[in-house]
Amino acid sequence: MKILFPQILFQIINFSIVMGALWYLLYKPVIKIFAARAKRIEEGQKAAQEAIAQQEKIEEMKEKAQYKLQQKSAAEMKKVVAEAEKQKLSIIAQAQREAASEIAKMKENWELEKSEQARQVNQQLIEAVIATTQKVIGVKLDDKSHRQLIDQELNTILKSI
Amino acid sequence: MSATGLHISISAEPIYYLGGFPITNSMLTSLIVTGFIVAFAVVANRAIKVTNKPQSLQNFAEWIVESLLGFVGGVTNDTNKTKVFFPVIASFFIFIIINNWFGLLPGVGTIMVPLADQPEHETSVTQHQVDPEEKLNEAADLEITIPDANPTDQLTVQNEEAITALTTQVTDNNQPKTTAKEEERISDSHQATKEDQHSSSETTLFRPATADLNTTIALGIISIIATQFFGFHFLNFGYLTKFFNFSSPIMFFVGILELVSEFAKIISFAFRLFGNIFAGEVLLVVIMYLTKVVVPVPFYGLEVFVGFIQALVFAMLSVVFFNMATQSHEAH
Repeated sequence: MKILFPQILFQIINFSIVMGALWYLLYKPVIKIFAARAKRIEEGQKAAQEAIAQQEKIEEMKEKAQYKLQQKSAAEMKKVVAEAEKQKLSIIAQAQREAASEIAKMKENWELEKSEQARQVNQQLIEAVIATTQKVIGVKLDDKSHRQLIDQELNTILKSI
Repeated sequence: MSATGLHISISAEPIYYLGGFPITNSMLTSLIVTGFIVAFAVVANRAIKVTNKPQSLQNFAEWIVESLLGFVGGVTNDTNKTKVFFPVIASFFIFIIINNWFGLLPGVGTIMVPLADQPEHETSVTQHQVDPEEKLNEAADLEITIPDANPTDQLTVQNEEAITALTTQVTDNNQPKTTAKEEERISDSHQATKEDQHSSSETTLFRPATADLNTTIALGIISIIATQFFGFHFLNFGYLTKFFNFSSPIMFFVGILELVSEFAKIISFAFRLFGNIFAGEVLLVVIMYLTKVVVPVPFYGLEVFVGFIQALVFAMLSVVFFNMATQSHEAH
């Protein structure tokens, strides 16, 4: 087993060449690529984080806007409901008023009609009574005097009814 | 394993001399692995683009880098330290694992080439200065070559014969008088040595670099030098208090122990990796030599696992040592 210094030196130089070649031709470019890739990934992550933050911001803004809109719509709704209630009450009141006036009108008409009917019945009764009486007594009654008499009697009867 | 028999050598063997500098089979393998890693890095570099859908090669490169970054980051828990330690740790892991697995490729350890002869001027010098006792020690070293015929018997017999022959030779040099019987024995042993020389004149073309102690020592030295460098880088001169602490006699002694342990780490790194990978190589060679095709398969699987684990252990220990060196002594 021979340990020879020149051979050791040769192997040291040989290994140094290998190391140098690997460093300049392989390690350095590959590490450079790794660094570039890491940078790109970092940038991508940063951009993604920024996008997420922006999205969160937008989400927050959206929620705020939604909340505001909800509040506004609730207030609007309240207002509308109150207005509607008011309108309802006024409509009901108007309807009641109209109904009352209608009823009053109808009552008046009815009263008028009733009195007209009564007057007509009265007239017919008078005429019937006069005719009957003329036939019974055989005397032609003075229309004016007898009519008054009959009217009095009939009024008495009608009042009793 | 060669065409002539089993070939196991504990140390890497020269296959060529470049101006007196031996190029060993492990150095050749190491160069091939380096070429492969650099080629992969170049191809990956061209394929790498800034994209959200990386293609297969870029995916693979990213997977390796990301896994090792995670591995280093898991120990340090510090982005800055991870960035600084990562290139060394990742290179350790990749270099060791590919070297470990390279040894499992077909052809590695089986393609034989003639052993390179030393340049003539050096050879002649060594021939004249050869010490017989050194020769005896070399024979007793773990360089074993077994011819194909009857391998189990001849392994021990031939080595014993060779050692006996060399012992006789040594004795011969010291005691010039020889009997006729001894002369005959010497003649036989010379014959055996010649056969040995013939079969051991070949070596494997490729040998995993991590199965060579010189490589593992080199890696250990790099790891420990890097540890000291990172210690100074993060703690400046405060790092030295780890070794030179005069606050109390006990702390001074602890500092000395720390200093010694730094050197021990090199040995620990070197022998752990070398031992595991070389043992795996030997195991595979012996199993392949002794058995048929199917039997070595589970051992191959085991060696793949061992190769990965050893690379991981080396990288893990290195990153732990780096991390410990960068923590102030007070923090301990």
